[in-house]
Amino acid sequence: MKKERVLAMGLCAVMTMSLAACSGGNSSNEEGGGQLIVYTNSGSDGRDAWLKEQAAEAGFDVEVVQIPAGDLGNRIISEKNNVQADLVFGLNNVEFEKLKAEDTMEKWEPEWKDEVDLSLGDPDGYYYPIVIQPLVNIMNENLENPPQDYTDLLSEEWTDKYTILGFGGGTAKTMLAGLLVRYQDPEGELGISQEGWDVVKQWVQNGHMEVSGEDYVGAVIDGSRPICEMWGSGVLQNEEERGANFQIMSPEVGVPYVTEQIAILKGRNNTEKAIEFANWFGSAEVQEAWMNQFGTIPCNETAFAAAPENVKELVNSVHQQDINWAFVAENLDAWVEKVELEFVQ
Amino acid sequence: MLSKKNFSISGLVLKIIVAWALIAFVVYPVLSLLVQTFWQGGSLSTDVFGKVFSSARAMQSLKNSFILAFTLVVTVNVVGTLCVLFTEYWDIKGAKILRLSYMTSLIYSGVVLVAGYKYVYGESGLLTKLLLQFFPNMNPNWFVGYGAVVFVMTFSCTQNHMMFLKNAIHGLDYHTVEAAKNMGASGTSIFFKVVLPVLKPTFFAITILTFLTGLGAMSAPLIVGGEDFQTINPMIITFSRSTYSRDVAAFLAIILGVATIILLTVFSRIEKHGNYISVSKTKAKLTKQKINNPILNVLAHFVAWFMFVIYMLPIVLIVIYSFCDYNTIMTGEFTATSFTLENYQKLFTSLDAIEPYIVSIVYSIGAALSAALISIICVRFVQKSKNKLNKLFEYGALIPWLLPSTLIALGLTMAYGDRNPLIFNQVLVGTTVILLIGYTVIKLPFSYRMIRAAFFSVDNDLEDAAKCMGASTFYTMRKVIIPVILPAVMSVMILNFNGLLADYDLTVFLYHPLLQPLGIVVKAASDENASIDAKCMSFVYTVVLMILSSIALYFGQGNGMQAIRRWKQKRLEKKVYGK
Repeated sequence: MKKERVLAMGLCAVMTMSLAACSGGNSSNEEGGGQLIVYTNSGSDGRDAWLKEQAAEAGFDVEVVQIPAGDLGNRIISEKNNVQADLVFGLNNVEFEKLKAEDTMEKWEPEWKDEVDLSLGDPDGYYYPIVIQPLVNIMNENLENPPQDYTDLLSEEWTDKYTILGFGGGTAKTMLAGLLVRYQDPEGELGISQEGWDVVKQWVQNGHMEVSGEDYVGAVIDGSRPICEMWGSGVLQNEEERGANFQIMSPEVGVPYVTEQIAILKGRNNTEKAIEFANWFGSAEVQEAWMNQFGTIPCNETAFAAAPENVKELVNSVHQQDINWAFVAENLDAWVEKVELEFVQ
Repeated sequence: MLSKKNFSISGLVLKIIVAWALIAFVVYPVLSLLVQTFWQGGSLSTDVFGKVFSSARAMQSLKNSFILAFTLVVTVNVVGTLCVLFTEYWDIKGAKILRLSYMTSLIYSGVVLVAGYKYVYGESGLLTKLLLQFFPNMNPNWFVGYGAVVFVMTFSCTQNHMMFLKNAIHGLDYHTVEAAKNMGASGTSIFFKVVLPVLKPTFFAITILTFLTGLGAMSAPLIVGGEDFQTINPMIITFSRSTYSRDVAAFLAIILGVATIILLTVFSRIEKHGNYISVSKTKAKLTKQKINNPILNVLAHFVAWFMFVIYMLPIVLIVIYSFCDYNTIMTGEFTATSFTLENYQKLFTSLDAIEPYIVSIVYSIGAALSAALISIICVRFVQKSKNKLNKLFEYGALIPWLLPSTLIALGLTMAYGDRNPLIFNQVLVGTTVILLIGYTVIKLPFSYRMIRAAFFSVDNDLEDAAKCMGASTFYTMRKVIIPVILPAVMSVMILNFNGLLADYDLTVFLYHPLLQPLGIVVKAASDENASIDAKCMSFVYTVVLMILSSIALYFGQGNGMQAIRRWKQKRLEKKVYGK
């Protein structure tokens, strides 16, 4: 009989312990502590380790936590009542607009705000631009008579000749937004005119949707499917790692620039230290080192001035499309859903 | 009298605790997710029906998922049963080596497994290249669509057969086979009339699992399904990540869930009608059966070794590729410079790199244990009590099957993102326990279903005998029942452990930022956006996971178990002689 009691008591003990663990978790953010927790979707490829190391040299004790973009936004919102991270960088305007709507961020001002183009960031002063990514279509080096704009792709000439990346990822979503916002119409479905939807339908169905695991960049290089969507640093990286040269499609309206931003999260006791870190991280010196190490394109103009030729060349070959990000943030998920359900085959 | 009363109190306490755990961590999160998704602005939102039913793509994908599920039930059962019969029942030369190759389906899965098959049968795969030399006009892209998906999944989803059917065959009483033989029964009729009936509960459980695997298929259709054979689960996962489209995801998941419920009910009914318990008090060990017909014997050997080749090719290629550079993997052309150790060097850049392994191992063991424990308790409640209400424990344990793990994770974060009286005003999000809870919850249905099947082989007479001799419930459980079901429970725990080790979908929502599990690290390293090496790294991590899973298998199945038993024996001897 004793054993049953022991079992029951043991179970009770486990429960209490687990609840104790919960409360332990709660108290940790009240203490604050010295360590800064940084969430980012831009920490892969050794960036997290590099940042940790450099920050330590500058006197910051940071832990860099890498989480893919879509999941990172969800996570921050779900942790609203038990905030785990002090700051977040790497997400784009659309994601940060969602975070803003959930009241998860502190208002602040970085020391380097005069060195960046503030129109890339938040007019309300919650998040500030760090790195830009022009999103482009790369094309085979020898492709003749290349299309000048997405809209050129709709013809039979390019049927199945271009890869559209999966709409789960940030690049494809934003490029879809870049195409749709050209057809803004307050009367239209989800803010887009019928013409806009027809164009997008044609664009999706005339092209090739990425199949997971396929080598779409290889297809561009060998010409079997010579056009493909690509994010800015991906262009440079693929050119370097695979020894290729690409043509870049440069539409007249410009291309969407995704801007990786930095923001301070609300509800932690380390806010001042977090701002200090953000000041350090966004500074010209660190951004230049970040660029040289990982091939990013810094928003910080002083840092950009020191950029290598190929980076400058890429940036100069395109210009930024004028996009109302608040409008995009409000509708993007609905757009993606419509495209996924109705247009993708 | 007093002891009787004591027992019921502690039994009641246990019941209340388990009931509370199921309500708090399974029922409530799922309900709060569904309510928040479908109850918008004070009314039930019905937009989602129109959205889903008017989408040709969604309907086609749903249809494909069901076609796949029904096909797999047949093909996986055939191949899986053959695997077990070749290695455990019939006398086939080289059975040990065959067994190792058939068990490869236990140690790797997902994207990399399908990639492995693609490197054999795909456009630039080994077999395709070989075939092209004989038939230059064939389409190199032949391994696409329904057939390809079924082929890959048939051979990669036999792990349940290799675990549970094998256990069941070993639990067979050889006396029955011998008796049948003495009465002049042929090999075929022994197999169908004596052996198969005893295996029925296991077959039912495995069939359900296979059906669910088919419904939830993800990587195989994505990679080799082509445009004509996409299934619904990838769409569910994508939509569940977006707040806006969560209703579509939940609705699609519910459609699959309803199908699951129907299947479970039907099978429960069938199971009730048949009484398949056949356990003698003095079991004789199974002796391998010779196939007497020489033609059939040759045929069996041929098929067995042909399957060996099918199983081995992908995994061998994956191991080889993990030592190759990117270009080799992409083109399949090996040169002298193809091989490198660089990929493995990246694995352990610093001591920190070991931490995720420890975190994942600890969480996975913890969850495997607690899922098994709760399942055993629930199965007992359901089986032993006459009160119909206890059936609720079964539903509670099976609920997580209705939703994909992404949505379960979201349900947990929604339910416990703020202080909640149900768990004594605690916040769970951001703590270290929520991941353990999540892992336990998603592994509960599988554990419950398999352990329930195992309980069919427990002989009630043994239990009654123990009780008559005055053993307590707990003692009977420990000394009489657990030893009988232990092989199945161990198998459940190993499969759960292996499955959780590199989980990403649930983990990403629930892990504590300072305790990164392996799944997160693997995803970051093999994320295609990260770098060109990503592809190589996904192979390297797969090999590492294979090693970890193999270790778990070793300890959980055969040899490891024997070692534990020997250790127990020694301890007992010490106790006896020590005095």
